[in-house]
Amino acid sequence: MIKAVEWLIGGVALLGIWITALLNLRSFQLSSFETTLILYLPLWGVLSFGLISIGIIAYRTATLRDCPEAAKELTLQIKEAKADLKRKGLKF
Amino acid sequence: MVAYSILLPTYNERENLPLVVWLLMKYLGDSEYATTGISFEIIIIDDNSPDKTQEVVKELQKLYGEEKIVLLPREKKLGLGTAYIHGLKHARGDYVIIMDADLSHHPKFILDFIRKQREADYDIVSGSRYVESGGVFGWDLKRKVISRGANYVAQVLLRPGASDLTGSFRLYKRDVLEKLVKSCISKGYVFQMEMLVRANRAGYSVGEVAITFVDRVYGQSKLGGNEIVSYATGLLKLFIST
Repeated sequence: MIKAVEWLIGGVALLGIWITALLNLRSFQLSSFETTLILYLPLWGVLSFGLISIGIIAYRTATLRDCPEAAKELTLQIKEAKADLKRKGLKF
Repeated sequence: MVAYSILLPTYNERENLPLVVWLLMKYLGDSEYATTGISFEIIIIDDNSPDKTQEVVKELQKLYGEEKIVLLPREKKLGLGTAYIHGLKHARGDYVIIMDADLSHHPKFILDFIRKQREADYDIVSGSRYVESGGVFGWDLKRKVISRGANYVAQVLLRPGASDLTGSFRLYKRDVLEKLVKSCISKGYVFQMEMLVRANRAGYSVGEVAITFVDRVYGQSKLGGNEIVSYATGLLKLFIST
């Protein structure tokens, strides 16, 4: 299935659950804290998704390895290659 | 018989190309596989480089032979996708390896690609900078954040089943590459991403190996505002179409 459609179905389903909860809010007999929680549920959802995402991106940026050893190896091999190619008579 | 065809699309790579070819010969020409009958060819698709890359290809052909080094000139600078299609017409190998000719991809990893492919008969083996022992060199913090952020958004929206989507160091089964490349229409960074996303949707198996990416030793590396915008629109197109 096309990914946008998957997201749409997921979004509509979650929205449906939330709206149902809102409509039946009185029958739950909740404290005022719990009522606020449910009232702004999508907002909390978006906020925590954003925060978790920032955390993941920060972690992945921090753990993206620098590889100076690869650059060093390459620099040495470039020298070696140039010398060898020159010896073999390559014009470049 | 040729088992592996290495496709090198070039545009102004006169400096780098001989070095890439030399490294390819060093690692593949004299590898553990050389004795077990694995052979390869290097196919250079040059888009009429003003720096006369083709002259240096002809020199390389004199040195290594026209069997080993195949030159496919094109009239002008055309897209990467059509470069692969052009290269595929002449590729004799059952497997095709694509890589950049600017030394950011080290040929030594091709041995890992081959090993990995044989492990589970993978349709595609993708080189990844983002798995353990992979890495990058020459990237500042900003570049790293953009790269990881762009990758994260794509992972969340597309769930493509591979860690490095925009890399261009990969091994494909020949017929798999042929089918994929014809269905991919994106340009630039998104092209490589589209290839893997469509591979995922078509049910092809993708293996990954760690690679290090050393940003261009010679020449300019490109990542500007334009690239970011075209990445975002390309990503959205894939989001609503795959």
